[in-house]
Amino acid sequence: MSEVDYSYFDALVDSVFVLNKDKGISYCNESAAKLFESSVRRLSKGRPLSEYAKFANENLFTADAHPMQEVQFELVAGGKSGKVQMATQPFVNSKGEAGWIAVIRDVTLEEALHAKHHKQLQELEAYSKNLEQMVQERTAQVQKANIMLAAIMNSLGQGFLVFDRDGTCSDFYTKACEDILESSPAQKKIWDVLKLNPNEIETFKMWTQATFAEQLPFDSMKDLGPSAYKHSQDRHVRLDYFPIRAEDNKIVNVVQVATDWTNEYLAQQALEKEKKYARMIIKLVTSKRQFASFLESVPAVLRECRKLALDSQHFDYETSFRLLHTLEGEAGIYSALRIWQASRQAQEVIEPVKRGEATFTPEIHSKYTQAINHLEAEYKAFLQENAELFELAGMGGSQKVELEKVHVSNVIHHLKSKAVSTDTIHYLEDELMRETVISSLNHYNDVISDVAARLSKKVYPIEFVGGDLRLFTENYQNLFSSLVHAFRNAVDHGLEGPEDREMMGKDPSGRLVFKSEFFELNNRRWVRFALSDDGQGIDASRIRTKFAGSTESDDEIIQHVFDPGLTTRTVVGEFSGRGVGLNAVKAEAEALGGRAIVKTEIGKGSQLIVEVPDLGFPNSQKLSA
Amino acid sequence: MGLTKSEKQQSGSDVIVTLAGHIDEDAQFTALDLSGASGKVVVDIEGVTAINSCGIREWVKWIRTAPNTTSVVFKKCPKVIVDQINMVTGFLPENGKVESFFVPYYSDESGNEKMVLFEEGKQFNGGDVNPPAEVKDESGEAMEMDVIEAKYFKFLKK
Repeated sequence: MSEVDYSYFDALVDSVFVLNKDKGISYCNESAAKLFESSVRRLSKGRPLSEYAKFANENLFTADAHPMQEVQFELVAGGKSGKVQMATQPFVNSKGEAGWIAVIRDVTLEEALHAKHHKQLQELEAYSKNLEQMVQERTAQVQKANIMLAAIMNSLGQGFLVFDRDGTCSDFYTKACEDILESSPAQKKIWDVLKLNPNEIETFKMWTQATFAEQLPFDSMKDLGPSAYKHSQDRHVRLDYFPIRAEDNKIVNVVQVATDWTNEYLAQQALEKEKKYARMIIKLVTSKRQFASFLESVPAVLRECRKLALDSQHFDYETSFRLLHTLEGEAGIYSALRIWQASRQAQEVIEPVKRGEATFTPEIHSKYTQAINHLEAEYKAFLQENAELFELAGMGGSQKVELEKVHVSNVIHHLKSKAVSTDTIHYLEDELMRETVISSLNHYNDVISDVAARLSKKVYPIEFVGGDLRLFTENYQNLFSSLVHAFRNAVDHGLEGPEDREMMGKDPSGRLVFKSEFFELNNRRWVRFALSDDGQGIDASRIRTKFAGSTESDDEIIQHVFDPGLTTRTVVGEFSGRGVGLNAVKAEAEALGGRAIVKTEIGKGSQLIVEVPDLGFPNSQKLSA
Repeated sequence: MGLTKSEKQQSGSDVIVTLAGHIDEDAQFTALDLSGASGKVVVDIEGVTAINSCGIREWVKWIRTAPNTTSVVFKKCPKVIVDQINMVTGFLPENGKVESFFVPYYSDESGNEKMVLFEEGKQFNGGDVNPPAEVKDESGEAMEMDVIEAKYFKFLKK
C-alpha cells in the first residue's frame, strides 16, 4: 500500500479511489467503501478495482483524463448495481508513481428518487383522474337518484314543499303544488302560498316560531297549524307537517304535504247520501203511515209560511221559524234530505230576524219567499224522484187495508154458506185472492239478463202474453221456482250469440215469450204455460247419441230433455250442464197433476209447454196472526 | 423505505427516543419533536441500518429541535452513524455526545464480521480509546478492527 497521504479526500462526500499503475486500490475514502459495501481497510490493500466492481465502460483508465460520465456499475460480490457518474484522472504521486484518481458519484439514489417521484406523480395523476371520474359517476348517480326521487314524489299526486323558520319555501317542491296549492312555492313565503289573510299570517308566524323552537313536541304543535287550504275551485285540500332535523336533532325545516282528498270527500258524501236513502227506505217500510203523514204535512207548512209572510210589517217569524224547524226535524227523522236542507236554508234566512239582529226588510222578505219556493220545489222533486218507491210501498192514491188471504178465504167460505152466487164467489176470489202470473214471474227478467251478460249474449225483456191471468199462485210456487232452469236454459242453450244471430239474419238480441192461457180439458179449467225462444232449437241427433239403437221419432227423442241426468254438455257451466233443470219442471208439473213437453224447430227456436190444472185456494193454509 | 421504528417516551424528565430502519427521504421525524424536552434526551440508534443524503438533511433538522440547554446522548451508534458524525458537520449537535458506539471487526482468515460495542468509561474515555485486547469470531479466529482507527475515532477527540 502506498504511504502517500491521501487523507484530504477523506471528507469528500463523493467516492474517491486512488489506483496504482496496475489499477490496484491504493486508497479509498469512506464514501467509496460505502459504495462498494466494504471497509476502507479491506479495500486499501492494493487489490485490483475490478475485483470489487465492474463498470460498463472499461476504457476509463487510460493516459487521458475522462470527465464525469454516467456509467452502469455492478459489485462483483453481487447485490448492488446501479448508475454512477465517474471521472478519472491519470496522475503521478509525490513518489513518482503513476496511477489514476477516480471520483465516483452515486446517482442511484437520485435515479431512485426521480423514479419514485415520477411514480408518485403518476399515481397522483391517476388518483386525480379516478377522483374526477368517481365524482362524475357519483354526481350522475346522485342526479339519477334525484330524478327518480322527484318522479316518485311527483307520482304521489301530493303537494310537497319545504319551508324554514322564516317561512321561506325552498326550491324543492313537487309539481302537484302547482295544482293543489295553485302556485309554485319556491322562494315564496309559506303564508303567501297558503293565501292566509293578515290576521292569519300573524298567528301562523307565531306557530312557526313555536314549532321550530319545539316549545311543545312537534306532533302536538303541528295540529295547531293550518290543517286545510282554501282552494279556489272548492277542492278539499288537507295539510300535514313533518320535521326535518339536523344532526343535533333541532328542527331546521318543515315539510308540508298538501293532499287533495276531494274524491274521497265526495265519495263520503255520496255514501252518506246513500245511507240516508237506505234509512229513508227503512223508515218508509217500518213507519209507512207516519211517513205518509209527514209528506202530506209539507204543503200545509208551505201554505202557512207564505201566509205569515204576507204581512211584512208584522211578520210572525217565531211561528214561521217553528214550523220550518219542525219540518226540518221530521225530514231528518225520515232522511228526506232535500226537504231537510231546504227547510234549514229557509230558517237561516229569518234567523237574524229571530235573534233580533235584523228586521224583516224587503230584502229579507224576498229571500224568504225564494227560500219557501225553493222548499216547495225540493218537496216536489223529492216526491218525483221517489215516486216508484212510494208506489211500491203502497203510498199515494187512496187508502189501503191489508188483509191476510186466509181471512179473505174464510169470508168467502162464509158467503158460500150463505148461498151467495157462484159468479159472485168467483169474482171475489179473482179480485181478492188470485194474483197475476206476471207478478210471480216478472223477476225472471233479472235472471235472463244476468245469464245473457255473463255469456256475452243479448236478450230482450221477457214478453208476457196473458200475464194478467190470475191464479191462486200459492199452488204453483214450486213450479214457478223450477222455471228458473227453463229460463236459464233458454238463454244458455237456446239463444245464439249476437254475431251468430246476425249471420243468420236474426235480431242480435234474442226473444223469450211466456204465454199463459186457460183451456178446458175434461170439463175442468186448466192453465197452459208456454216459454218460447227464437234460438237454435234442440238438435235431436245429439240426444239420439245418448240412446243408441232407439227407434223413437225426433219429436219423441227430444222429450228426453226432461230425463234426470241428461246433458249434452261436456263441461258443467255456471248455468247448465248438470242435467237437472228441466227434470225439475216436469216433476213439479206432474206433482200438480199436469205435464210438460217440449217442441222445437232447428234454427227457429224451442218451446217448453207446461199444462197444469187451475187449482183453487189451498185448503191446507193455516190461519196466521 | 423510511424508519421502521420511531418512538419517543418520557422517563421522568428525560426523553427516550428509539430509532430503527433507514434514515432517508421517507423518514418522518415530525412526531419526535424535541423542543419540549427539559431534561436529557437519550437517542438509542442501534436499529438504524442505512442513511442517505436526504436522510442526513432530515436528521439535522430534527436534532436541532432539541433546546441548546438540553443534553442529547447517543447510544449504540452503528457504523453508518459514526461515519456521518465524522463526515458531516452538525450531525452531532453541540450539546450532543456519544455514550456508546459500534466498531466493526473483521477476520481475514474466516471473512467473518462482527460489531463490538465501545462504551464510555470502558472502551473509551473522552478522546482516549482502550479497545479490547483481542476479539475473536465464533470460530475462534482473531479479528481486527475493520476501520482506520485515526479516522474512525476522530469524533471522540472533538
